[in-house]
Amino acid sequence: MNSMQRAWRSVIRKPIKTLLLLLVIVTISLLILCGMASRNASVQTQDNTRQAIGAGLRLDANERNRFKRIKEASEHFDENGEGSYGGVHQKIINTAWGPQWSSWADNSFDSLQMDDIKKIAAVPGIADYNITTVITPALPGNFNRIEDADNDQYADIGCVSLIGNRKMALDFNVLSGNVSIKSGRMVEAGDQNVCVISEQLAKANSISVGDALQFKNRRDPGNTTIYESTVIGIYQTKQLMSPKMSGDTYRSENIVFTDLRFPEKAEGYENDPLFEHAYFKIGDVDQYDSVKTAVEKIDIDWERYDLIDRNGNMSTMSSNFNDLAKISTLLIVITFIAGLVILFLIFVFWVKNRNHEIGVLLALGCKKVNILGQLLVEALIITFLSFAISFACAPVITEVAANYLVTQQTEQAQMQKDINADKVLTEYRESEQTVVGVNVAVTDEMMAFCGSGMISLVGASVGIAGISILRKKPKDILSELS
Amino acid sequence: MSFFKRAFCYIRRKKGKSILLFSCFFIMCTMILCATIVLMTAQATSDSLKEKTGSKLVLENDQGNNNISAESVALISGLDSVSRINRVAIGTAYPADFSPVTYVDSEDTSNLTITLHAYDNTETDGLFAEEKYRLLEGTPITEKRGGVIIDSILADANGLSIGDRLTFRTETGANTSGEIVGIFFSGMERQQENSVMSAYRIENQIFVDHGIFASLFTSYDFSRLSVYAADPDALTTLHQQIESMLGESISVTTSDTLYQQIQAPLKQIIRITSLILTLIVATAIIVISLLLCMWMRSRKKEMAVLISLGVSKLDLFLQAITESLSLLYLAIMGAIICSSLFLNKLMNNLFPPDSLIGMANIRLEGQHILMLVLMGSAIVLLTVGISISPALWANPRDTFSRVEG
Repeated sequence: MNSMQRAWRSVIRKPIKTLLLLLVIVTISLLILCGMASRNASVQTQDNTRQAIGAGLRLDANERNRFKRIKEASEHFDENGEGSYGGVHQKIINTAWGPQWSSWADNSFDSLQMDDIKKIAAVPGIADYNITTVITPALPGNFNRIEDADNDQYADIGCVSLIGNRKMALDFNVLSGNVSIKSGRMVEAGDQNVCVISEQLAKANSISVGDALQFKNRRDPGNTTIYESTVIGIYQTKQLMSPKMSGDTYRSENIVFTDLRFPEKAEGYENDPLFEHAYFKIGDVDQYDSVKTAVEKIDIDWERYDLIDRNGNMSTMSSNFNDLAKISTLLIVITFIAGLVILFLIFVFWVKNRNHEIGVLLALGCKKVNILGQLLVEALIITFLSFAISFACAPVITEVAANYLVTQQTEQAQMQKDINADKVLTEYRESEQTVVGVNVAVTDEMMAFCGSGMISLVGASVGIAGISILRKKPKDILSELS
Repeated sequence: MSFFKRAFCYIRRKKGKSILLFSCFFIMCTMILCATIVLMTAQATSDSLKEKTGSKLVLENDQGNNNISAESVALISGLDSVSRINRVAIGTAYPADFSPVTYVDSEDTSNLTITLHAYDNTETDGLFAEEKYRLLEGTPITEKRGGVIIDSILADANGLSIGDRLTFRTETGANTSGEIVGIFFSGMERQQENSVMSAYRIENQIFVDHGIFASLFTSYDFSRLSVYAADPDALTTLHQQIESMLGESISVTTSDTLYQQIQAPLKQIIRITSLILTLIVATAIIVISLLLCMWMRSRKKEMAVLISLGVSKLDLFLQAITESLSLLYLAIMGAIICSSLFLNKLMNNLFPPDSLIGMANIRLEGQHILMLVLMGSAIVLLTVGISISPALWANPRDTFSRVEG
């Protein structure tokens, strides 16, 4: 009888022992496979978290450069320092504190340049962009603004504030989470003559989505020109937006978000817009630095602009994400090493239990190599059977794990929605983003890695244990109590 | 010979097997303890992330008046889940050694004063945090560093720069000065009407720390509070507690957008780590059980010999339990020592001492060790009991007649 036959008979003759060893190997290989799959899921979830935080770049006008350009323009003024040149105007005003300079410029002088914005937006890695106009006061035409009855409105200009956006969803008030839509929708790129108003303004004037709002140029209220925009949405705020200036014109409830080119019309400066900010959303936060470097290499007059990092949250939390990544890796390393060491010890234990059998075979004249080969074949048969079972069970177990990870999250999200339903009546259909999908999948690479690792381990453990026994003489082995 | 003497003799005699079994127990226990520490570390990291989201409650007076009393602030800061408070107060003062920016020829008080905004931290709340004002130079006002932040146009008009000092005075004669630490710009300065009085112009909005503000207005209330919670999940409870403390003129709103954005995936990470720990524990239970079964089964002949020599079955059971439990408890002690020494060293290498985890000083607690001891003991009792039963109840003659290798 050769080694293979002896090995097969040994496996089937002691079914309980074989089964026990089989179960141990199945358990440990399942642990290793599920551990690797869970680690991948953890890495993916960490990535989802980082992307959820988001990052971008903001473009503003450089104030020092503006001062320099005004100074260059002022060289063309008269000897009193008054005059106009290149869109810059200056004159002297007498005040309570003595004569003071009053300077102002045309929109084209102060505005971010559209061509430059489009060049930056075309950089690979920039997922989307928004342009925001300066806050533009406009007189309400067919509606009443919100006013504080206790406040003296003498110093106020009696307007509402228009903020034009290419994409309202990327406005800073929206990105910060303070402003959200209550009904209707936000301004999108390509919209014309549309607006989104506050819920307070809508309620006070009984305005709903679809109505037309009229505005008039504040600089010339006698002018009968009406600028009309359609209400496409009504927004709500968590906290009132802090006004940049005093007066009811700039209070939170009187802020109207419009499409990008509407404010200049209501100001009487059509085709002469004043873009104050541009925001560029980075698609993959992990590419932040490389995208920023690419943006800075664009051929535009960078002296005119400030490119501001808007990744404060990411950089604050980056150390935590690094720690989470290390934790994930540490856990799988512990699992892997411990699993393999346990398997090694179990195989050594299994071989050690067969002292007597090995001694008898040696006494019968079997070669040591054949006996070692028999042990190895037995171990491999059991190992391959274990692999087949664990590979068949792994998808089921990972499916259960994935469901476990998502189910409670779904229940929590539904509970939160139920709680919130009583707080805010909304017609707005929010997107289903409350549940994070998790992919706990066992891939072919994992199986190959696990399988090859365990086969190597089986060979090493059987060899080490077997050789320590086979070094002895049959009489010495048989004289040891099994 | 009593059962425990037999047990220790067996462990000494079968050194190889005992060491193997001990090693298996040791590796399993170390793996469970290490995974527990790693899970605690993940939880600490997650808690840090939660705190960094800056989730807060915003308390403000609807008219912007200073009517949140200092007593209320003291009560709120004493609440458990409050990690810090950013207080805001507003007042007007006269510039003593500089001129405000104005284009109005009026002697009205509002045209002769500037507006002071007192903050604990300008970076995390207010117009700077909302990106409506932007620091062009210098540093923000924080809890650790105070000072004065002025508008760039005011600075240019008065020839001021970082490091210069500004002096303010009030109608009551109070007088104080502060060092300029920052210069800001809003972009809306030029959009203002010339008729706007000095105190209302953006150029004359000046940010100061509470020390400077208190020097001018000895006792004052606050117009706005941002109450930060270390645990965003506690915001709802905190909201209820604070609402009951304040009057109706003060609104309390929640601001936790960033936390809401990352809440779901963050909890997912912890659940995945917990899942791995559960898998490890389940594996440990199964492997130890199977191993003990294998060990017991190989001693059928020994059991049969002892029974035929007159040793009682209870004695044999107690001997088997004593052997396994001795090795288990030794392994647990070794695992505790190994985790304390080796794992701490590893954690110190992976996470620098000045990092959050380095400073969190995560350690195993008594409850973890107790759970391990109890769970391990229960498994050993159950498994040894089940695996030894066939050998104990079988007839020794039947056992001898079977050939055991």
